[in-house]
Amino acid sequence: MTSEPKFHIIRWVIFALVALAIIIPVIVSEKIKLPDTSSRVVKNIYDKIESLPAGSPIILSIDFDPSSDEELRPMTMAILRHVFRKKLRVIGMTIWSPQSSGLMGDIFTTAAKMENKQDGLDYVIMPFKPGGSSVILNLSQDIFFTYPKDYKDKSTKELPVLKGIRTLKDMKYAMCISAGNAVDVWIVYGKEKGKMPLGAGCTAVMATDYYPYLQSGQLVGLMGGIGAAAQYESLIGEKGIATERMKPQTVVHSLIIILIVVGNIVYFTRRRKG
Amino acid sequence: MPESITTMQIIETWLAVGFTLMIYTFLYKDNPIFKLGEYIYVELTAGYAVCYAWFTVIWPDLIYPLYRALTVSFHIKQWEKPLESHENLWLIIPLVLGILMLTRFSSKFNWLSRYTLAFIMGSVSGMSIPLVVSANIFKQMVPTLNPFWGPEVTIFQTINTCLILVGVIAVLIYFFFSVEHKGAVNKVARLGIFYMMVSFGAAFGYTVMARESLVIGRVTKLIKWASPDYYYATIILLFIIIGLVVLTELFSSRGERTE
Repeated sequence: MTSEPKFHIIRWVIFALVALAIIIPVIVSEKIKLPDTSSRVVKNIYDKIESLPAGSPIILSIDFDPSSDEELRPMTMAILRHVFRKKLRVIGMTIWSPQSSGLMGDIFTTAAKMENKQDGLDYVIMPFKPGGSSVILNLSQDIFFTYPKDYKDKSTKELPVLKGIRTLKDMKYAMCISAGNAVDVWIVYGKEKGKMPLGAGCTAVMATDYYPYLQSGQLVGLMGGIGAAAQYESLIGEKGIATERMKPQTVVHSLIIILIVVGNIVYFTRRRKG
Repeated sequence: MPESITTMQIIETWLAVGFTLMIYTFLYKDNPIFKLGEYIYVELTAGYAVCYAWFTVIWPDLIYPLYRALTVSFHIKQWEKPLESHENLWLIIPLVLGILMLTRFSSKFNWLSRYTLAFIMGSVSGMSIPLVVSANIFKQMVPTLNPFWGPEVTIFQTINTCLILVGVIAVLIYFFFSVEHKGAVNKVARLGIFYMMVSFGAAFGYTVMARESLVIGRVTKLIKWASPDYYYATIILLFIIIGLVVLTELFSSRGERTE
């Protein structure tokens, strides 16, 4: 029982150290320089998008809501800017939650403004439809039946961006950026039915779950968390939010490694003393 | 206030800062200010989801097309625009199934919702089983069946295949309880534990990164919102929230003493 107040104090010391490890690098971020690196799994997504000819239709499924916005928006922005630069036709959709639609609208509009792209001509945003797997199965039969109208209530049949597209099989690439199980749904239903190459982006918590799908070739590449977003920003030569956020991230990681080492030393020393 | 920042954005910022700080008071302990922020967030999310579902799904995909189909079928009304393929009387089936789900609120009629659930389970199983088996079992077996050597196989790929194969077998044996874990079986099972520990360690590392990303994102914004452009929103609201937490603590401790 005597160790409880000590533990309480140590907890607060750790909180304070983590807070400082975040706040100080944010304030002096310009002085911190990190090397440009990219892992194979992230580069595979970049290479896949690079290999697509201009005008190729792709699906970008934005399956996260505001609670994961801080972590997944940077990678979505980086991907969108890349596909817009490559002049690909982008179909934005979500199978996750109604809140994703608003976020998707905001992210697409911001990226389109940066890359000078037009709604309906270069990209289209579809409204949220519940059902998850059923929506994807419907897409594998008829996109216009699944989404008769877009996010802005325009008839999808009249949109130039969807010209020549009928089903999921017409897609040259699909990417799901998810904070939940949407990647699993896309692997099982989208990939199996559409047969198109599939990439995934997810919160770092989930990243390890999807490595087996990389080895089996069911996923082209994988982006896990803010680290992968920073790598992608470096690949497209547009260092942005993710790169900035990797600076405090690196400091906090170093702090946590030190804390783990110190914790282990204290534990083993105490055990030896009995 | 810079021209690029509108009054609406200022209001939004103050709300965002207020709710963020309210939620962060949980770091101190569970308290009424945190609870207020949490409840408002949950209720807003639920309300938004209901409204969104009504305006983008229930009304345009079910009620309105069914209304058009009914009025045309029973010659009640003539529409300028002819009926589309999805506007037909078959929509009555999902409508009835959906209404049956709402009977769960009644203790007398909640058994009716089982028909809807049975329909969902039956149809989803039919759609899913072949695809899930293919994607999650057959295709997942492929990496364990890669060739160990060949003209295009590098030494690293051979090592990778060996590691995967050994890992799959060791972990499967760890979860194989029909044989007592003794001798060689025990050794292989322990190797399975080692593989799982590596996996948990990687998952923990990623989890730390995920949680930090959320905090860093929020802290970065809170620092930005502490500027004069946003009328020092973070600083002012930080003092207000701390004050409120202290007040609620004082009231609760006084209440405890009175009791």
